[in-house]
Amino acid sequence: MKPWRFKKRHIAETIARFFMLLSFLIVAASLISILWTVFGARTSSLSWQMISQTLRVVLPWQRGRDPQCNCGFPAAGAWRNRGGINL
Amino acid sequence: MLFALTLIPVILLVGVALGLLIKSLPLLREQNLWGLLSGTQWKPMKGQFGFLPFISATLWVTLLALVIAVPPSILTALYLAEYASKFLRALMRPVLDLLAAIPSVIYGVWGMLVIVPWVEKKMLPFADSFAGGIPLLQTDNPTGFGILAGAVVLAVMVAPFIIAVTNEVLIAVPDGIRQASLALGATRYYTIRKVLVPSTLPGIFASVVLGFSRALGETMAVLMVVGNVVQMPHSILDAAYPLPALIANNYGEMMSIPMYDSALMGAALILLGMVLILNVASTLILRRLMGRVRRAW
Repeated sequence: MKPWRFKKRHIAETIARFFMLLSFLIVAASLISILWTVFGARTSSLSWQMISQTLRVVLPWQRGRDPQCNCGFPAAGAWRNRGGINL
Repeated sequence: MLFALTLIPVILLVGVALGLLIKSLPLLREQNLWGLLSGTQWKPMKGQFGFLPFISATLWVTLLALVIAVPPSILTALYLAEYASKFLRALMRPVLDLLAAIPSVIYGVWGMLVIVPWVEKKMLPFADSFAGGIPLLQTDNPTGFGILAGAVVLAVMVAPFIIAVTNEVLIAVPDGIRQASLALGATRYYTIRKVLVPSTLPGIFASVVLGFSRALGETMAVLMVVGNVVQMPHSILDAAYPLPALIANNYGEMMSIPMYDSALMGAALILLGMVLILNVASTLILRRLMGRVRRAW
């Protein structure tokens, strides 16, 4: 085989390999970007308590029993005095 | 019994198509089909239901997604099948499965957080300053929400399917064929170009069709980044409103408007028709390609 033809084939091989590797890196980078967006950058704002705790509904007439609740409803006694449902 | 079970998918398909047709009949009776397909005005309150902006938006997003996805996907599959080490191959197989299994809403979130700002901060200034003369990049949309963002998200979504199927097809080629080509003095690239790709062309085409079908019907991820503006898109940076997004956004809303329900069912029927036409056309092309490969071998 003539040397220039060999050289040409070698160059074609190198270019094709470069583009294949580049494509592979693009696909891998997109996967890493998705994983980083979903997990990496937002994990710090998650806590185990946020994931594990169940929904706690505090009804207006239960407010008196829960001193932590500041849900804007009147206290249990006031609710009953206004003719609210007396449970 | 088995024959009857085999017919179930056909019956389901016919049932879905018939159901959509019956639901969209009130609109089809009132307005002619060509008027609906070629109309550009979407004003439900005035009884104008032109589907062309939605059809063209669907085609723009899907075709651009394929233009972005197909070359790197096929090159990646070739790299994995022919050049990559065993370790990398073993690593990439579950990674590709993971990519294929990610729910589309996560792709949508990724698109909103990464791709839309990239289009807004990089592509729009580039289009303004350097590529102002290119019609495909001229837009008055000031946000990154548009066809390009939707197409990039969709391309990343369909790439794992195309890579996985193409990779499987390439691996299935008998090793003797490769060895014979290499023994004749051909380089690896020459073997890929002259032996592997021609012999696996039907499989590669099938993988592209699989990706195309997925892209055509994809709703959630596209809906989140495409802008959802009813207009005829003229550039890849314009906002658009594809058919699946129209149905998903509006079904169940504003149903008191006359014909609205029927129009949305008509949109679903058009989408189904587009997917069917694509699949029939691709099956015909696939048959032809397979015949050519058989004759060559």
